[in-house]
Amino acid sequence: MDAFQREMVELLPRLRRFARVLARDSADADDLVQVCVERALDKRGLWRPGTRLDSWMYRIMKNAWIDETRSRARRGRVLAPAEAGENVADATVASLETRLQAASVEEAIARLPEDQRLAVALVLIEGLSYREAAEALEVPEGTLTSRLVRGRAAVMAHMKGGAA
Amino acid sequence: MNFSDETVMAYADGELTGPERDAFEAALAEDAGLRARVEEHRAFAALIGGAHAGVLAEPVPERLVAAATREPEVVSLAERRASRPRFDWRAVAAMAACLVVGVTAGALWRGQGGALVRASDGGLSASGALDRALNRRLASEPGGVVKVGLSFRTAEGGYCRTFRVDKGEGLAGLACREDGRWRVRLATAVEPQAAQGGYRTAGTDTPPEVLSAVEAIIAGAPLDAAGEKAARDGGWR
Repeated sequence: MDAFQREMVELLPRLRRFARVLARDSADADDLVQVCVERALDKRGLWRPGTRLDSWMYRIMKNAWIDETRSRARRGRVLAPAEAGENVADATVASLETRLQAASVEEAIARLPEDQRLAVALVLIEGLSYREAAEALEVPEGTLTSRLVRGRAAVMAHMKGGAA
Repeated sequence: MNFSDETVMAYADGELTGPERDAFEAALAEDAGLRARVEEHRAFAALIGGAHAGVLAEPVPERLVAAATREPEVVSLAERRASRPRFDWRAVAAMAACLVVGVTAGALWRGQGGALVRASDGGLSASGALDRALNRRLASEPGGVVKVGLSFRTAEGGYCRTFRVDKGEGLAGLACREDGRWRVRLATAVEPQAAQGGYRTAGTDTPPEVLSAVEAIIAGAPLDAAGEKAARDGGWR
């Protein structure tokens, strides 16, 4: 295992988290991580050392996900529906109240249109700057911020009002 | 003063800078409503930030670790060559031919001195400035339309050289000496780079697909400066 691969292994938990936002179904999410890792290894010559590996891999995963949703659409398969509270059983989340809140925020995120969901996930969950997130999504920064502001408002409305 | 949601959000996320941030903070000091909006944004950012946090604590499935740590394909060039099918010249020639068909009408293959590549005997040969550079220019020599990168020998004993053109639309590729001419084995469009001072390595100037083609057919290491000069002075025979 070389330095590139070590860094990639360290990123796996975060890649799985991002994949969970994209694919919702946890088995699908891990498949997506695997495709992403394999593509990253194949294309490692294209990664510029000194730049952020995580942003680069999020971009690969985003593209892998787009490929996957397109081929699913071609095959006529319906995407796994968002299941409310699917991730409620996280052992790390302590009280019932907190667990319900986590389930509710995850459900609110799952209901977002995909472009807003990606913006929210990269900035608020994965902690990328606006510029880094825009690069990972391959959109102008203005597009990123408008998706982010709309996505965030929708999550806030969902959490506050309960309706969506 | 009225701030848009986008501005409040950017401030809450630490993305406002310079005078914009100063103006925002000045308003913030006097506006409890604005402070509340920022607080709300931050509270929700923290809440959203905790989504799917449980995943981080889960053990990573073994298959993912295995996928990330699979043996690098290049243990050595020799092993890599041995472990995969022989480089298929026909496929490469077909690829190059497609490129030529695509650009005959354009300027990609034309340097200042005319066409850089011509069809001959069912293949593609270097001509004009490209042919001259492949014959004469050493990798260490600057200037000219065509830069030469790596020179090396194949298992069959012939010489090959990589090249790069940054004038006009960029072009990079690989040519091999055969029957007294340079057959273009692979050519690909590249983003032209502005002329730069200082020394650049073949690795930074050569696109990955060209490097892969080199790796597939090279015997031993690329020629060093002395070897390159000797081969040139010997007419690449």
